[in-house]
Amino acid sequence: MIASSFNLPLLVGALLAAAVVLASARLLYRQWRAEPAQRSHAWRLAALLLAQPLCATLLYFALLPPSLPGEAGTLVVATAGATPATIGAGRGGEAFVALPEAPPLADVERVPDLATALRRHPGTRRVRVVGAGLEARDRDAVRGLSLEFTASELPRGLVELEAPREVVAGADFVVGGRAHDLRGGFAELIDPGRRRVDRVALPADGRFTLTASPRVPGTASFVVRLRDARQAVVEDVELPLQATAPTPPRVLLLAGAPGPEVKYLRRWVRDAGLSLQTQVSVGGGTQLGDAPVAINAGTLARFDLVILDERAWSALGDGQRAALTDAVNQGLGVLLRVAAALSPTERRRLQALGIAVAGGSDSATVRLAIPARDEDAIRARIGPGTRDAPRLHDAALPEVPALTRRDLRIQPGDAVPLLSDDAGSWLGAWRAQGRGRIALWTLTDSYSLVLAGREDLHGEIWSNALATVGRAQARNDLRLEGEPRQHQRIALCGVANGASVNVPDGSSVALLRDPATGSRNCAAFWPRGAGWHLLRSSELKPGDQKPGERSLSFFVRGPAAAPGLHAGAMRDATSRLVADSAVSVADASAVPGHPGARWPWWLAWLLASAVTWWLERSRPGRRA
Amino acid sequence: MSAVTILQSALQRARQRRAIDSALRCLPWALVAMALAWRLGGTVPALLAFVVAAAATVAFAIHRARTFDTRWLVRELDAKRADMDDSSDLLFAPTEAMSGLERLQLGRLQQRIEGAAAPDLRPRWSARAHAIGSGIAAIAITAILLWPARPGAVFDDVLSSVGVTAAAPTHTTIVQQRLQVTPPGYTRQPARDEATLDAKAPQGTRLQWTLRFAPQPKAAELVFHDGRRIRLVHEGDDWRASDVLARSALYRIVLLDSPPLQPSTLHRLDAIPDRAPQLRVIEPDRSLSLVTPGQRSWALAFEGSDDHGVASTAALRITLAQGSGENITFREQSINIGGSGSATVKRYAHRLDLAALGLAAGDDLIVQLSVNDNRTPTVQTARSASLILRWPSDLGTETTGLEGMVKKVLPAYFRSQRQIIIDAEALLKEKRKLDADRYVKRSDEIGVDQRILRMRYGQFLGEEAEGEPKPPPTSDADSDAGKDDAHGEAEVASTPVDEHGHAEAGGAAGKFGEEGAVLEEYGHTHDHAEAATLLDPETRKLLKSALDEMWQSEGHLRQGHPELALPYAYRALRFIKQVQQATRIYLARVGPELPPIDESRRMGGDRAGIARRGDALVAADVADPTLAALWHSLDAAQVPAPAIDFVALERWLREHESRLADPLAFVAAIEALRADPDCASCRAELRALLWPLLPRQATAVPRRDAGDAAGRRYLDALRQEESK
Repeated sequence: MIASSFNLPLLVGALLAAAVVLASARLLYRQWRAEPAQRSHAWRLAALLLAQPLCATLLYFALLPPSLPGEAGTLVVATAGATPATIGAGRGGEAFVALPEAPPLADVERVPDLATALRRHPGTRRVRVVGAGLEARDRDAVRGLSLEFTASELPRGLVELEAPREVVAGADFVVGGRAHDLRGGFAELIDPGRRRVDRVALPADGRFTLTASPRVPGTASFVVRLRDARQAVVEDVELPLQATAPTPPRVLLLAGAPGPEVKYLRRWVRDAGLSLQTQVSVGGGTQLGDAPVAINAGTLARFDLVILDERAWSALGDGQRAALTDAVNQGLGVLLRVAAALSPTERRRLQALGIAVAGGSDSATVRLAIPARDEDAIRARIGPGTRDAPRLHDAALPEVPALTRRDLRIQPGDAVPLLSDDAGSWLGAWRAQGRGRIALWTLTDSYSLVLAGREDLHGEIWSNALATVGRAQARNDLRLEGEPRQHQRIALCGVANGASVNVPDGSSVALLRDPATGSRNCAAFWPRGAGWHLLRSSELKPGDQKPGERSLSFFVRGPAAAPGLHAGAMRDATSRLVADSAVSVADASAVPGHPGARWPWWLAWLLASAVTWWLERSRPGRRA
Repeated sequence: MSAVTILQSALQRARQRRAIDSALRCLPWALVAMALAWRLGGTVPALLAFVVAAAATVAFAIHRARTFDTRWLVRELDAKRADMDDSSDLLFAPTEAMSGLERLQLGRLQQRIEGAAAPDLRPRWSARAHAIGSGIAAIAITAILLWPARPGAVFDDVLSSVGVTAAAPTHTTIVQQRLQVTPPGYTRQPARDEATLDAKAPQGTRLQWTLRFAPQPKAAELVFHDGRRIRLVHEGDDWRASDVLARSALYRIVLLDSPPLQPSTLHRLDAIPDRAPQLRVIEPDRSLSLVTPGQRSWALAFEGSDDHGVASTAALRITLAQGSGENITFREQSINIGGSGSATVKRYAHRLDLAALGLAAGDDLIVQLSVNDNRTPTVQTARSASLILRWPSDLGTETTGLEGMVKKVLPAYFRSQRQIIIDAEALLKEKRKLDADRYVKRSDEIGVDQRILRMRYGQFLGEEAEGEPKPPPTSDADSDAGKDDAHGEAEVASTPVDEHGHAEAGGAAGKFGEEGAVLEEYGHTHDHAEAATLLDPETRKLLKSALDEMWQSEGHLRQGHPELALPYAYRALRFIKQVQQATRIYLARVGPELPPIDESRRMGGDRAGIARRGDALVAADVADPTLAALWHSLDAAQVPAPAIDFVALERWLREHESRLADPLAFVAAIEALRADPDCASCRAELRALLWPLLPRQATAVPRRDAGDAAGRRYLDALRQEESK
C-alpha cells in the first residue's frame, strides 16, 4: 500500500532529527571556535542544546498529533419521517446526525450521507437508524457495524407489491401485495380499459392476491386500487406489464374413444394456438385425427405434453410405456385423464409411477373452486366475445354448471393438487418424475363449462393444468435486480458486452459490464427518466443455436410514484441489514484511534521556540 | 466681542457650510429614489420615498456637521493662523488650572483674535463631488423616467419594425361563446345557457350557438363527426347557428378563409332519449284471478311512471270472453280512467262492476291498461300485462294445471298431521279445565281427523277406503279460511262420490285448492298395496310405517287418551317427513344397474370402406387484426411512436358501432389523437377505450421455468436416488 512506500511520520522524524543534529553541531562548533572570553557559560550551552530536540519533538507532534484511543460510541441516524420524540435526543453518549431525507430537526447535525457521518464520528460501533430506513446510498456504509432500527409507521396504502415483470399474453398472471392500515378495505385490479377485473377483501394482515390476463402482446398498464372500509379510494398504484406472445407447447392427445371431452379439449387446444397431434381410437385398430405417430423415444422428444385417457393408457404396449416413462424423465409432461373405473392392473401401473389411487368405481358431482367475483369483474374478464359470438358489454352471465368427476381418491404422497373443488378435494394432482411431471385428472365433463357458456373457465383450468405439467422451457436470462425507480441504481444481469438500454427519450445508453460480478454478468444502470426502457443484449454464449438479440422491457417508476412501495422496500432492506449485522458484528476488530487536537502542540512549540530564540539573543550566560 | 464669541460664530458658520454641503451631496440621490418610486409605484410611493430620503439627508447633514467640534476648531486655528502659536487650545481650557505663563499666553491669543478679522473656518464647497453626483443622478432620473413602458417588443413587432412584413394574425380565438339549450316544452325543463360548448340535453332539444371571433372570419360552420355541417350566420359581430339535437354527436367549429381557430377542440353533445313510460300492476297481485263467490266488482290499480310525464288519463281495454268449448264470443270495449299523483308518477285505479259488464259463470274478463307519455310530436305508449278474471263455469273442472298447484301435493297433509299433534297437546293442557265427557269428545274428534288423514295416505298405497272418503280437514281450512274462500266452500260443496266413479272423479279430485286429489286425476290405484307401482319400495315402506303409527294414534285418541296417542303421532310425523325428504312420489325408479359391457361384441365386423378422414379442425380466428394493430401502434413503450392507420380505424368503427358502449368517446379520442399525433395522454386514452374491445383469445398456456443447470442436476440426482 501507500503507507509502506511512503511513511510520512518516519520522513518527518528523520528530517527533524537531522535538523536537531545540525543545530546542535552548529552550537558546539561556534562554542569551540569562539574566543575563550566570549564563550557561553556551560548552563547556557546546555539549555540551548536541550532546547533543540525539545522544539523538534514538539514540532513533530504538532505536525502529526498522537492518535487518541477511539471509544465505541452510538450514532443515531435520523432518516425520512424521524421525529424528535423517536430520535430520543438528549441521551448521553450518543451522537446525532440527520440524513438529507430527514425532516428539519433542531440541534441535529446534517450530513450528506451516512459514510460522511461515520467519518466525522470515528469510533462509532453502533448505529441506530430512526425513521423510514436507509436509502440504497447508505446501505453499504453500515456493513460491519452493529445496527439498530427504530422504524417509523409505514404510510397507509400499498407497501409491498409482487408482480411478474413479463407475462404471457392470454394467460392469467398473479399479483400479490400487502396493504398497510386498511382493515376492512378492498384491493382491486383495474385493467387497461379502466374496468375492474378482480377484487378481494383485505384480511387483517393486509395481504392479497389478484389475477388478470393481458389479451394481446405488448405493454399494458394495469392499476392496483386500494379502497378503505368505506369504499373510498386510498391509493392507485400503476402496474405496467410487458406481455409476450407465448411459446405454445406441442401436445400429443391420445384418446381411447371419441367423446365430448376430447372434442372440446381439442377445440380449446387449437384455439389457444398449441400445436396438436390427435389420435382418437375408434376400435378395431381404426383411428381418427392426425396421421398416426409411433410412440417411441424419438417421437416423444418432439412433444412437450402427452394427454391420454385411461383407455389409451391401457392400450399402450410395454415398450411404449417404457418410452413414455423415459421421456418423462427427460422432461415430458404426461396428463392421464381417468374417465372410467381403473382395473387393478392399471392401478399397479399408476402405483409404479408414484401415484397411488383408491376408489374410482363411481362418479360424483363437483363444483369448481372459483374465486368469488362480482358480475362486472367477470364480464370485464371475459371481454367482448368473438366475431362469431359477440357478447354485449352488459350481457347476462351464465351460471357455472356442476361438473362430474371420477371419485378417485389420490393418496397425497409427494403429489401436488392441480385443481380442487369447492370442498377442497382434489380433482387432479401431479408429481415430479425426473425432469418431467405426471398428472392425474379425474374431471370427466369439463366440456359442460363450454356448453354453459363459460369457455373462459374451461380454458383457464386446462391452461393451468397444461402449464403446470408441460415440459419446462429455458427463460430469458436477462434479469433485473432491484426495483426500477428513477434516480435509483439497478443491476441488469446476464448481459453481454456491448449491451445497451433504450431509454424513453429515444436515445440509447451503453452498459458497462462489471467484471467483479463474475458469471452473473451484471451491469449497473441509473435510470434518468421514468417510463419504458428496453434492455438489448446479444447472446451470451456464442455457441447457442439461436444467435441474435435478446431483449427485456422494464418500466421505471417516477421518484414520487407509489411512495408506500418505496417506504416498504427501504424498511425491508434496513431490517435485513439489522439481521445481517447481528451475525457479522460479533468479530469486531480493535477500535481505530483518531488524531488528537494539534493546537496545544503548536502552542507549546511556539513557546519553546520563542524561549530558545530569546535565549540565543539575550545577554545572560554570555561572558562578554 | 470676546474671542470666544468670535470663535463660536466661526465654528457655527463652518458647521452650517458643512451641513449644507452634505445635504447638497445627498439631494440628487434622493431625487433618483423619488423618481424610481414614482416610476414603479406612483405618486404616493414617490412622496414616501422623498420623505424618507429627506429625513436621511437631514440626519446625514447633522451628523456631518457635528464632527466639527472644538478640537477641530483648535486644529484649524493652529493650522491656519500662525499667530496662534500652536496654543489655541488654551482658549478652551479651564482657566482655573492655568499657570501664570499660560494665562499670559491666553490673554495674548484673545487679543490677537479680537484684533484681527474673524477667522473664516468654513470648508470649501465640494464642487466636484456635487457636479459628478448631480450629473449621474440626472442621467439616472432621465433614464428612469424615459425607459420604455412595454416590457419588450414581441418577435412580430420586431419583424414589422424592421419592415419584413405586415403582421397578420396567425390564429383566431373565440372571445365570446354561448350555447343556449332549450329542451322541448313537454320535458318541463327550463332553457339554460351552457358555459361551455358541450351539452347534455333531452332528445329534441333546440340548441342555439352564439359565437364571437377575433379576428372576424369570412365564414364559419359547425362540422359534426358524421359529416353534417351547419353554417354559422353572421349577425353584427355575432355568429349564430341553431340545430335540433336528434342524437348524440361530436362537432367542432371550422372557419373558412381565416386563420385557424385555437384551441380547436372537439365538443360533445349528448342526447338523452326519452324513455317509454313504465306501467306496474298494483292490484290484483296476480295475472289470473278467480271470481270469489259473492264478488260484485273487481278492483284494479296501476302505477304509471315516465321520465318527463305521463298522461293524466289512461285507456283500459276490457275484453269479455263468453261461452265454452268452440262457441266463444268476445266483446271488447275501452274506457278512459283518470290518474292521480305527480306529473311523472301517476296511479290509475278503477273498480269494474261485474254485473254491469255482464260477467257470468264460465266467462273470462280480460283487461289491459295502456298509457301514453307526454312526448311531442309523437307519444310513446306502454301497455300493462293482461289481467284475467275468470268465473269458472263448473268449479274445479278447468283448474288443474294452473299456477303449478300440483307441486304441493303432500305438504298440505303433512301439516295436518302436525295439526293433530298440536290439537292433542292443546287438549292435554286444557284437560283440567274440561269435564270428562267433553274431554273424551274432543279427543274423539281429533281421532276422527287422524282417521281421515290415515285414509288419505292409505289411498297412496292402494288401500281401499273404509266407508266413504271424507275430505280431510286440512289445516288451511282451520287456520286461514279467509284466505281462500273457494277452498272452504269447496269442502262444503263437494258431494261424497264413489271412489270408483271415474267419470266424475274430477269433480271431487280437482277441486280448486285440493291438491291431494291429483292422485285420482292422474293415477288411480285399485289393486292391493303390493302391486301399486305408484311409489318406489323405499317410500312405500316409510308410508306404511307412518300408517301403522297413525292407526295406533287414532286408536288412543278415539278412546280418549290423547297422551298415549302423542308418541305415535310424533312417530307418524317423523315418517312422513322422511317421505317428503326422501323422494318424489310419482313413479317408481328404474333400477340403475346396467348389465356389464360385453367388450367382445365391439365392432367385430369387417372394416371395409372405413378410411381415415383428414382432420377438419382448424383454429378459430378470433383476433381482430385492425384492433390488434392499433393496440400495438399505441404502445407507449415504442420509441419513436409508430404511425396510426386512421382510415382503417374509422372503417372499423363504422362497422362495429353497435358493439361500442360509447362510440362518441371513441370518435373523440381518435379526433384528439389525429389533431396531435404526439400527445401521449391521447394515446393512453384511446388505448383505454380500445382494451374492452380486444377479443379475449382462448386462454394461452405459459411454459414453466426450466431453472438453471443446478436445478436440473438436482432433479436428475433425485431420480437416481429414487431408483436405488
